[in-house]
Amino acid sequence: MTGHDPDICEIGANEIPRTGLHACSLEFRIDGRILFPAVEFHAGPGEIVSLMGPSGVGKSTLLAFLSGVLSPGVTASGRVFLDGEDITQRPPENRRIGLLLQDAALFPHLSVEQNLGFGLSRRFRGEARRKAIADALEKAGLPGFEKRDPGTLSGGERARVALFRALLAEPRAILLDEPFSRLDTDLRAQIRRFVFDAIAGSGLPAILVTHDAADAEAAGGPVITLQGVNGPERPG
Amino acid sequence: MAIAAAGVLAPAFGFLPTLGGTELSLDPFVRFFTAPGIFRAMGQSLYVGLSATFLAVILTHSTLAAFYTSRWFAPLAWQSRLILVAPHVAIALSIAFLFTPSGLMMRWLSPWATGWTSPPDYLFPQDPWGLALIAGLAVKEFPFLLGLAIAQLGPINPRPALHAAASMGYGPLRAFTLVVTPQLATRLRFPVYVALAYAISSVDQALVLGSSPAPILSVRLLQWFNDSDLGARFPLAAGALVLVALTALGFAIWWLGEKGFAAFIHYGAASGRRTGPVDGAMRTGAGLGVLTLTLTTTGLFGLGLNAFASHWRFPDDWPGGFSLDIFGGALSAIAPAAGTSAGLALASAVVSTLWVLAALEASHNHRRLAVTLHALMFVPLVIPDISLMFGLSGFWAALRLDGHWLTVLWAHLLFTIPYCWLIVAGPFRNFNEGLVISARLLGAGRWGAFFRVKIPGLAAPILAGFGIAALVSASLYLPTLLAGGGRITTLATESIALSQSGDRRLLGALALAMMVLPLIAVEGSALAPKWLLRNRSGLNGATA
Repeated sequence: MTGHDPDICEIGANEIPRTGLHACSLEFRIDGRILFPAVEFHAGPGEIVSLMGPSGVGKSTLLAFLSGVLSPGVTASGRVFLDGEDITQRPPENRRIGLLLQDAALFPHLSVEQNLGFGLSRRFRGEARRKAIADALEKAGLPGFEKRDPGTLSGGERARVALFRALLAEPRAILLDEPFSRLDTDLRAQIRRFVFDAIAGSGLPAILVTHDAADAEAAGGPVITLQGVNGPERPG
Repeated sequence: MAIAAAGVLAPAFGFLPTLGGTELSLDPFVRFFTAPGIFRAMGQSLYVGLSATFLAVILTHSTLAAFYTSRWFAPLAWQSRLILVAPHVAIALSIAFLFTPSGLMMRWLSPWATGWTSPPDYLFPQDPWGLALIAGLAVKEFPFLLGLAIAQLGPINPRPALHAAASMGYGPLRAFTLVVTPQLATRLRFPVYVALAYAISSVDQALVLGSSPAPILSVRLLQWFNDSDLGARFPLAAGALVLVALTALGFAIWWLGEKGFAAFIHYGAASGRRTGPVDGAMRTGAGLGVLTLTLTTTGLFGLGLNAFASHWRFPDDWPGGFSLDIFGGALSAIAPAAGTSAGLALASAVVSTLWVLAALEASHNHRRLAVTLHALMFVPLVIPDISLMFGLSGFWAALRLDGHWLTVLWAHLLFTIPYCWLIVAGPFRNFNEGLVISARLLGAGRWGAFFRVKIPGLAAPILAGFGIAALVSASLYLPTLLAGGGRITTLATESIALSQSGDRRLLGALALAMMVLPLIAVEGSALAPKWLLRNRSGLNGATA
């Protein structure tokens, strides 16, 4: 992450909202080429901001930046605030941002229980830990799934485990990277509703990257469409 | 690497102060090229290397084309794995045992077919035409290429293309040859060059199977190395460079042949003919491939049988009696060498695996470092090992490092690290980055994500890399000999030293030990992840 200009944000420090995820003047360059015109957005508690745009426009780059895992070849400018704190330079493990990916990204070598335990705070010990995980599975509609192998779960089950794995880590914001695109059409609306309700219920700000206008519509929040700046499309 | 280059270049141009060579000159080259029979040795190296590799490549492609869709494919793949884990030396010994005048083949054919009651008189192995050596090298390279080819069939996904060709009236063999073989050949390119470099400069097999009055260049170089007249170091250095050039020449010839062959196959595909002369050639090749695999496996078992034979007269088909004396005599004689081999194999595997993982993680996100490392890994695979080792041995001798166990380990690492890298690097780079990012966002630091998610997720390829490193270490002859200064004895050096002794029981025991160690390493590293991850379907199939 190089090339940050601290003065690039137009609003003053005391105007930064004290709650929610706020991004200002985000701009990315690969080999000197600007991906899309600078964007600014804000997701309040329980609000889902949808980012849309053609593939290759840089949606994944933007999410990587918010997560703190930008590839070395990309130059970024702009700043990210979470509940009023500047987290632009923080390493991913200290950002307290949850991520839901297309393939759910469950750790294949761990059981469902161990996956959920991965992000759960060490404050929970012994019986409390076991109960927190059991409760999460209950809410996910997957009671008794503790010992299951993630490889044997259906797409919808994986998505729900991934959601609660992220929530158990007590994040302050959630990023969703096309989390429903691999699900069957009929299952898709159902899981989407489930995930959006859980986010609204938790009062977390969320950013959704999607290809599907129906996703953005169901999210109910502001929709930002990214338009590429000239040049050929690139994957990713 | 730089040390090796300097160690070859300086004496090659006459600079070796300890031996009085303080001026740069071309004299070493003059001495090299005026050595008797040197051009024959060079020609022999090139001819043996190219023939053996050509044979191995033809066998690989035709066996796959003929058997890929057949139920015989699995047993063939198993035989090929067995031969793959057998060190070159063991293969050489098994070929010698099969075809020598008093060998297994003659025993099985005599007296009913040949009428002989005493061994016939012909020179094999070590025949002047290099046929035994060509066979030995081809037999060892064939399973190597076959194994890699099978691994490459996954990404090629040949089934749809084969179905399409079949629907147009092409038989399975011709369809495979015209549609899949060219794709496979492109992907096998680099391994074929590795095999070619090895075949041109092999030492261990050449010592057992090659002709001794007319040795190939690498063996001539070894003779100079062992020469008590240290002045022989100068033509040796020149020769080490010539061998590198010879390998490059071999590459060039191969490259030209490759072009011609590709044009021929493409012509055949575009001509629309549903049958052609290639079919017959491929069928013959496939038959030969099966014969090769079966004979070699038989030879290996026969050789092992020797270890337990109390007496086995010519022309009996089987030993006249069995005994377990071997555990008293021969086994205790080879136990120290076996111990050294096992120790070196284990240490090489541990260090190689750790080094490869550290290097891969450090070069992750550093493109230039990654590219440099990747290129560097291939150098020991295409440079003749006698050239590389000679370059280093001068340096080791100057610092009095030769003959130490750690120096031998160093020499082994030069070869085990690249093979380990070849196995691990691909899966490591293709690892689902989403898992690492998720782990970090869930609060694991960089190292937490590495150890708790990436390493366990890559358990299968990492263990496979570990097994390959152990296997390669156990089979290294020349590096052990030169770095060990003759004072470190392993199973590989011991077998070569005893290969002409005629003590079949001892050789049988050595070959057995040489098979058992790598089998443990390779099978163990293949089974361990299956057991560790037995309840994890997302990883079980992901073995490299």
